[in-house]
Amino acid sequence: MTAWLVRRLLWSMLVLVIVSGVTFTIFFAIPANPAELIAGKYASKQTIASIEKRLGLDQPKPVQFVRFLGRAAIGDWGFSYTSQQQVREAIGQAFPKTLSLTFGAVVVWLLLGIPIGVISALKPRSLWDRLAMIFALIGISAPAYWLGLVFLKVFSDMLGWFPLGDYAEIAQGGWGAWAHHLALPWVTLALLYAGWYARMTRAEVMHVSSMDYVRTARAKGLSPSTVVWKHVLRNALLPIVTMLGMDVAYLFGGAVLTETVFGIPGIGGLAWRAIRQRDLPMVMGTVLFAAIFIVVANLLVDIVYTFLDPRIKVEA
Amino acid sequence: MSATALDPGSAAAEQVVAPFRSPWRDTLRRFGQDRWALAGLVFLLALHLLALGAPWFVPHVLGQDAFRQHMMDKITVAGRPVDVVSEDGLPIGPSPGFPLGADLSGRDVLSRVIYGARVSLLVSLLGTALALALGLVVGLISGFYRGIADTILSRFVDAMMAIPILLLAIALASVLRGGSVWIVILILGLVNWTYLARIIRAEVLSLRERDFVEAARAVGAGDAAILFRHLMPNLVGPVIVFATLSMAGNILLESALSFLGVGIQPPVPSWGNMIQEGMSFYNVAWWITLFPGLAILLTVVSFNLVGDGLRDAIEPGSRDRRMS
Amino acid sequence: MKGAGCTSRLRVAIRRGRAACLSCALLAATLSCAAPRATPPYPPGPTSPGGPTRGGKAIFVREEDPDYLDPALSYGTYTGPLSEAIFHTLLDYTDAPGIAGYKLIPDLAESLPDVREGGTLYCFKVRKDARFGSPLHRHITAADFKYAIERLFKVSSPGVTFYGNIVGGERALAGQDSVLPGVIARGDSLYIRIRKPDPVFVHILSMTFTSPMAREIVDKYPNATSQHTVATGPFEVAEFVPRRHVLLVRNRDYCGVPAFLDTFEMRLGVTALNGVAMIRKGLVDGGIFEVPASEYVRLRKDPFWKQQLGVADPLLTEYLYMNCQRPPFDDVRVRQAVCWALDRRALVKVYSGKAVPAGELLPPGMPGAVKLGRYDGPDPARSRELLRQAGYPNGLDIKLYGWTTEPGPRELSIIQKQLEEAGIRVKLDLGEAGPYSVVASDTSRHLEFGIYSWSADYPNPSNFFDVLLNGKRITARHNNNLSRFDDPAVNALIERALVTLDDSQRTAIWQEVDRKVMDKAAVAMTIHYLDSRLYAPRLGGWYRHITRILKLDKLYIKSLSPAAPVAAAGKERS
Repeated sequence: MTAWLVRRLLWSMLVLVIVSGVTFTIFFAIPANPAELIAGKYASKQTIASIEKRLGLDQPKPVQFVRFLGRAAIGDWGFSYTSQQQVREAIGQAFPKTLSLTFGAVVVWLLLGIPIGVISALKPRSLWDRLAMIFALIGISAPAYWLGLVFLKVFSDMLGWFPLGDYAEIAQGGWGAWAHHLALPWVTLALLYAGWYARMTRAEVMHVSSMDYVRTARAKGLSPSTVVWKHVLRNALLPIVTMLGMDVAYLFGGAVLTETVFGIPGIGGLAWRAIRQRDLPMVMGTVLFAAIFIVVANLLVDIVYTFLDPRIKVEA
Repeated sequence: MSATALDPGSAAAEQVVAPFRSPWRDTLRRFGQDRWALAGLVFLLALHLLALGAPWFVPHVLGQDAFRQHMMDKITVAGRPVDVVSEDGLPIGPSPGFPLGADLSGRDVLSRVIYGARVSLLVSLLGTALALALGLVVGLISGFYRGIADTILSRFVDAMMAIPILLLAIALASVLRGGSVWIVILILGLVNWTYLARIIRAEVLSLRERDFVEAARAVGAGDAAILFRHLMPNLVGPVIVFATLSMAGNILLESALSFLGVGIQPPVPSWGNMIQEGMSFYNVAWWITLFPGLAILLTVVSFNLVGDGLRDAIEPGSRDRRMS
Repeated sequence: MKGAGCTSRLRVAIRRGRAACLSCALLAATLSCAAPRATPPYPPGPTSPGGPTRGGKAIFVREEDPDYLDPALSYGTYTGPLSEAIFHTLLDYTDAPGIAGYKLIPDLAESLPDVREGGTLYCFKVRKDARFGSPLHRHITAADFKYAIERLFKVSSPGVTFYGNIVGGERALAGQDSVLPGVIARGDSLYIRIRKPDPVFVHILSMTFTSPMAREIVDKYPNATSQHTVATGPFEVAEFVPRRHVLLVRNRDYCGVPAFLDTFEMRLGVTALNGVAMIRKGLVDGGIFEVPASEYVRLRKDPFWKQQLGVADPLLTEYLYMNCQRPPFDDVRVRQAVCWALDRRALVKVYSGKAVPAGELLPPGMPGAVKLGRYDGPDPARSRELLRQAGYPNGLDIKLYGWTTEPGPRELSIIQKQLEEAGIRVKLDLGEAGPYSVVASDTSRHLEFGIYSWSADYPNPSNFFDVLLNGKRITARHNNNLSRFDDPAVNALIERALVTLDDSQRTAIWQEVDRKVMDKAAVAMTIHYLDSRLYAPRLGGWYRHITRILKLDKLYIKSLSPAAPVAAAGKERS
């Protein structure tokens, strides 16, 4: 078991190294000269040379990559090309915003998705089920940025209920302003996910309900609500919790579109801006940061499943 | 983040898809009974027809030109001449001559939504095709030959899937530049294949242990024969489902890239760049952004309906699963 | 700011570097007016009601972070107001609106320079009370200036080329040397020796690039100077958190006129659209951004808020250049065909009315400008006829270069359609504004046809005609005569105007030049641009200085009483 864990951990580290390699390659190997990218399409030779000199890009690429990995491993993620800020520091400043966005959205989508899914599953093919599934379908099909614009138009511009975006620090404006500014982004992001959760909950509840032990419980004469709460939901929720873990891990890496539309200075916006400005240290930092969450979540899910489900054999 | 950026979830993705061996007729019958899926299919067929016929449909039926800029033109509304684009640069809203209003350059939004369908559908279709090709090859090699090739490819797939899909797409788009249709197709293909590779790998891994493969091997069938005669037919189901649902994802992803300004470049209209062009005026000229967004929504809903219907028809009893 | 905005600072300096003789007279006047250092014009504490008072805090917003908070590296137009408030140097411009603002006065120097040895040696004396701000609080010596100027070459500053005229500058530019023998520091005396006399050099020395730097800080944080600024101007950085805010406080070590405000906060990451909403709600006082077109449309209709719109003629003109030395634009008829094809009223609409159609080179705010209204089209039939006469009966195909900054792509696609009507089929090639301008000004790249804009640095027609259309000023690099227009008659007129002392006579010559270049279609005019900003009613001092977008140290809060009638005014919805 320990051997398996160690192996699994090592694999995860390797995945992170490959992620760095892929990112590095995209920005360094495909175009001949990152300095040229930084300088833009029309840059003169002098400009390019001066950028190269300033950023120390004259060393061989593999050397640069290995050096980056070595530094990253000991926690030195370098300095941004453009703002000169420490990458770690920039991520540290952006992460609370992404965290705020994610947690609020998670609460909203769970409150929406799971009850809708349960009720749908209990009354399949009813009018409620139909409506709920249409809602879910629209949720998973709408472009986030467009939904955000529609909400901004209606609730901020027309009705004036919410600010036109931006982020309010808790330290500056208090919890009220913080939530007020984030309400629309939360709902926007949550709608996209609530659809998935409603569908998943519905499917899981229906699946579990058809299991033998649930039928047995019903046959024993337990009340329907007891059956639902004690037997069905508890078992149906496991895959949902797993999915939640993955989704939260994913969102910790930033929600580019939602952050862009609402002007939230989170990880997604940081990454997007870094990519536009070819700010390689920042790109590497944000991508690795996002990848770490995903890899760790994957690892946790594997471990949890291995423990919970004895049928999954541990590959030696 | 859009729905396209959703991770399929490792647990769900690694789930071995139920084997599919029912005759096609049953599948078709089951699909035909799904009214929602049929409705989606009808909408998609109509949309494709409209997209194909746009060069004829727009001038002859709508009497419009998707590329003509009515900057200085006036039209008659309720008996009075009205500027298509006002002195302040505000375009006319939905009105008799412009059913869905005009955009900032005085072009007809309806015509452009129809032309946008051409680009969005083409890009998504070819992007899906590319992802299919890549995913199939990698998935087959991984699942069939296993060993060191599988280990390397699987770690690479893991790594690719650990990068948020939208970030990866943006990074590729901004490095490759150009913003032409072909570049966007390449990007869609490059970011989407990993998921299919995982499905195919899992499928092949389970299939190759099955009796009929063992039997074929026992009678001396070669790798190629086993691959094409025994494995491929069993992969058609999951591939079709993947293709349909990935069309939905690709439409969203293409529009997100164009919205961020790294996708299809104007004046070629795509739904995403229409929203991007109109975004700065969303509060005073909402129709420029609303209608392309609705077009995306309806199209993606339809692809999802058809995809869900196909999955239910091909793999009856399969559980709902998420697809990027 | 529009397209070329981000390069206008570059162009300012380039122009000053080249247009030497034009400003001789002007400069002489400037230097001779070496007034004794002004005592603070405003006494501290409240004065007249609504007038300038010292104290308080103003909050501004903008979306992008400052590029750098380092005088050697900062270059973005919108970083300008910040860096110009933090980093001062030997000289500054007077605080006055209009043309009166284009006058140099001593700042960290005791007086205007003593120019010796035939205009090749500039002698400065650093003020005794000149001090660095926190954390140093030490006296600024001439050595700090020398270090700052030499550092420009070491870090490849974007402004480095302006200082190539300093003795040793050429070697330093080539990277062969890191010290400038031409800059000599002895205690508080700074001597700068240049290779050839240049009356504009004194203006180059007044740019923030020459702000003194504290070597001990740079050595300590070589990669993070933006995070460790040492102020030399009226404000110092209390805190800079990228993507959140820049907090400035009054620099008590600054020896010049202190700022009115105690604190100035620039909140970052606020889009212009949100910024306008916040100003209207009384949450913030202003923004370093152009009012978004969609909001401008609304504000202009609002009787209260339209007074808070700072709409100014930035003396910015936009046009299409056409390479007159190569086919097809070597034929004046082809150029005229382009002029006749354009519908400028449609282009004004692209700018949401924040522009006027241009039928002449000089913007309307320029003293002595006359509205000519040439090529009042569109007349595509006439264009086709002109093309036919020029030997292009089937029209022609050509590439049109431009920038991607809003509304550039929209404007160019409309121009593309207008030209198409006249038989000129163009393919658009758009790039980012800054790098594009660099390439366009590189003669060896031979860009035939493209969009360009020029903003004046001081209100004199010479700034346009001599720089943009004098055939003798076509250079290999940093060329501003993008049309490569070289007409002997026009050249002669321009040179005559430069030496004409009588105002009305000179104005008449410039008007004649404008008529001539329009007749020859040296460029195809599009629009004269107007810029707009929105400020809160309680804020004063936001006039547009001739060389500065906004002087933060001149901003003040009109009434410091808490019940300022701000919020109520902005409630009505349009």
